[in-house]
Amino acid sequence: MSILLDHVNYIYGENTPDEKQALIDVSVEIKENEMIALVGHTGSGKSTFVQLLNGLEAPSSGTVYYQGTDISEPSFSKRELRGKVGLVFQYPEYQLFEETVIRDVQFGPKNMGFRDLDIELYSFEALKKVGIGDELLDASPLSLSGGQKRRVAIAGVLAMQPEFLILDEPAAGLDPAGKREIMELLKSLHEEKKITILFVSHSMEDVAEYAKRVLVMNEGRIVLDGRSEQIFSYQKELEQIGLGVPQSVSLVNSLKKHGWDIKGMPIKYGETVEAIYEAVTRRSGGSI
Amino acid sequence: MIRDITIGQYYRTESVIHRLDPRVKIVGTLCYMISLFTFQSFAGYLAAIPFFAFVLLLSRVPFSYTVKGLKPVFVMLILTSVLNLFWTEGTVIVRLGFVVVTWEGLKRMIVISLRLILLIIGASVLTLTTTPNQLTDGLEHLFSPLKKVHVPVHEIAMMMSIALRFIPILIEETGRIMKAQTARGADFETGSVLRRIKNMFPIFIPLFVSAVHRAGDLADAMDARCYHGGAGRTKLHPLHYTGRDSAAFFVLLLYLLLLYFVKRYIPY
Amino acid sequence: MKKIVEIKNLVHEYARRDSEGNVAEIVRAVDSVNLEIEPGAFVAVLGANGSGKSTLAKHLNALLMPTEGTVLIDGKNTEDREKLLDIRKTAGMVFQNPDNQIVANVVEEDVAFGPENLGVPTEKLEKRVHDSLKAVDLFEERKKSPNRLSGGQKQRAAIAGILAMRSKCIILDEATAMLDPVGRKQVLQAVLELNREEHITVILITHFMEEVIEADQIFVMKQGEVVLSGTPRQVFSRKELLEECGLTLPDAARIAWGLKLKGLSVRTDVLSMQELEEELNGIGVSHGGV
Repeated sequence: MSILLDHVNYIYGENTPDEKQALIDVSVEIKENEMIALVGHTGSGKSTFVQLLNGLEAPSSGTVYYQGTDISEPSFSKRELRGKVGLVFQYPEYQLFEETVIRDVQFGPKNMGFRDLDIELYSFEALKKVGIGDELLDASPLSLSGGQKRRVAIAGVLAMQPEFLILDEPAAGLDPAGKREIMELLKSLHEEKKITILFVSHSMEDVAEYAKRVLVMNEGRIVLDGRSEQIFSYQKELEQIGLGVPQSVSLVNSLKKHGWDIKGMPIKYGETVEAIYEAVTRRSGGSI
Repeated sequence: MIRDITIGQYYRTESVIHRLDPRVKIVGTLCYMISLFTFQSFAGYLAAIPFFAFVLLLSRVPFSYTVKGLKPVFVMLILTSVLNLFWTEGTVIVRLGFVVVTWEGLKRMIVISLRLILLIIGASVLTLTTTPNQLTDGLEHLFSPLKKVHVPVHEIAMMMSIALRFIPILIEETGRIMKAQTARGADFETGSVLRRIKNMFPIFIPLFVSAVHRAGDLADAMDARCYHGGAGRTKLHPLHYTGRDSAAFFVLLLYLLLLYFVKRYIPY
Repeated sequence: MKKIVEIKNLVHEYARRDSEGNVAEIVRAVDSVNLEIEPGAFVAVLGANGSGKSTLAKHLNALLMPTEGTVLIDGKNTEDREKLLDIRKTAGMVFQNPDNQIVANVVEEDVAFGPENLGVPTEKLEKRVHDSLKAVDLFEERKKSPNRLSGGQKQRAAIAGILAMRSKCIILDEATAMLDPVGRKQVLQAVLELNREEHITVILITHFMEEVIEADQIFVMKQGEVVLSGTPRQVFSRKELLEECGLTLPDAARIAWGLKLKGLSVRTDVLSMQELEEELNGIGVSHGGV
């Protein structure tokens, strides 16, 4: 199972004064059961990229394959694709429209043409998964807090039973607790439900903590693609395109440069603390 | 790009007409439009057409741009032409069964459709050479005497200006919401009319909610920046009449005089 | 010296209504807050969403009126209708959503909006707009449509709009929340400069810990109350309390805490990775020498 982009170009506003190539020769495969972060500046092509994955935008040239099938083929059901490749936009709470939470979540599965029983089941499950309690099912989405709205919106996509879940800055605007809830939710969806997650993020700390693979975009191209540890070893390159590495990684790099014996390439919080602790212990001869 | 949509399609270039005070242009356009109704003869066009051509030339707006404004009224134009051509009594030229074409009908058709065309392309010169902001400013000034009879002129102008600012934002937002709902499997393109209207709800409701939200935010922001209506407000770029504007008024006067004499001494 | 902000026992309550419009409950968004801010200070108000920090901010600009208590801005009571414009002119406010606070269709005209309302004569307006745009580095964009600006630029335009009113105090009500890291940096840089060079009081309301490191004083809010205040060092040393408030420590302090919990004797009130590194070097040497 995979989504494959083969030499994809995307030109925005073709033949207008504002013509801009948003994607340049992008080839990448998103496989089953991955946890991917997509990073890059505003305007680097991330939004266009994610909209190609579920056929909301079509490439100007090149091909997008879903499970080996060219999605531009007329016989291919775009609607079904959108169910399989769930896309959660930035600030998705602005798409809520139904009178009650549960009915809003049912919108997606209904459009997918699922059986009534399944629609109910999937919607309940999805809301439970995102941590919205039963007491809120009949509440108006407008009466919820910002973080709750965001989670209802994500449930609305989850209820379509996607195999791939793409999220454009899922934690934007949330406070630290809300942000952690969302990121932990993605982690558990990935680990328990085996859904492939691709999230766009500006926070290198979140990327380090949650992603296994990182795609780095710059000026319409994917400039780096690899495991998180690999990607963050390119500190200089990342800084050159204005992205940088998590602060903890620059600390470790700086310590290493000053002669500290730190093993490996810790990028997560826990790993970093552990590695520094061990290095300190080694340095002081185990006599702390 | 959607954020560049301007109401009335401003044509950006440097010209005398562009630099005129918006009030002059509004008054001028009004005079010109009214003048078109003051004559029923061909002769009037001897004044109107050269005047329009002269202004257009000065404005450096391509003629084709002004013609674009005719598109939406094209059907109406054809309809009135046909009606006038066939339903005017007088000296018969052609008779085809119940269809009768008269000299008077032919003349009337030409006069009236020319009038319509000149009216619309003339008005479009105003919007093509004046930014929506300047228009709002100009209208506010021109209508300010109405304040005495408690017409909220400033408020109306402010509302127009805010609408101009938020229309592109809301259009963009509509696109975004539409995409988000499409990603949830919504379909806006198939089904019966009733079905399609119903399918619009997932767009309109969030859009409405967002617009109300934005309005609330904006009201706070305006309050915070000491907005308290038009009283005592100054302007960064106040409107000033210059020599250029006086000259424009003079040209306008010349046109009206010309029209008067043409009407008076040329009988056709 | 007169305080620029003086809040005494401020309480703000509002009624939450159910779908039928009946009062479902009375919510106390701000609860018995007392605080004072010196002119020229850089103050941060930290809190999770719903902690009451934005409600507090709206009181500073007289957008809301106290249910109980008083708010004095530069000595003027916000409930005094006569002083309303004066208060709003003194304490300018930048809001969260960059799009929703720009009124005019051209950048420079938007910057002029505040002083226009105050009746500043045209000749002076031009200079004010010019200076304000220069101060936030937006002079080149002055003729553009606001829709053409990036998020960070829009917020800087809003700051310029406040500078043009000659405000003594700028309140940023989560003004960086919707920006990307580049925009956030630009906005912070702009207000920091104004604070240092023009001695404008800055009140930064945020939930981003990294933004408050340079603050002179931090107030932490939880459920409408100020539960903690002090310098960044003092605040960052209260890990548990911060976590209860739905906040997290900046990364450097977080790592220091992690090390401390493992048994290392490191200072936990470090403000930056650089400080942490120096601290670690200190430990390494002192122990290595034994």
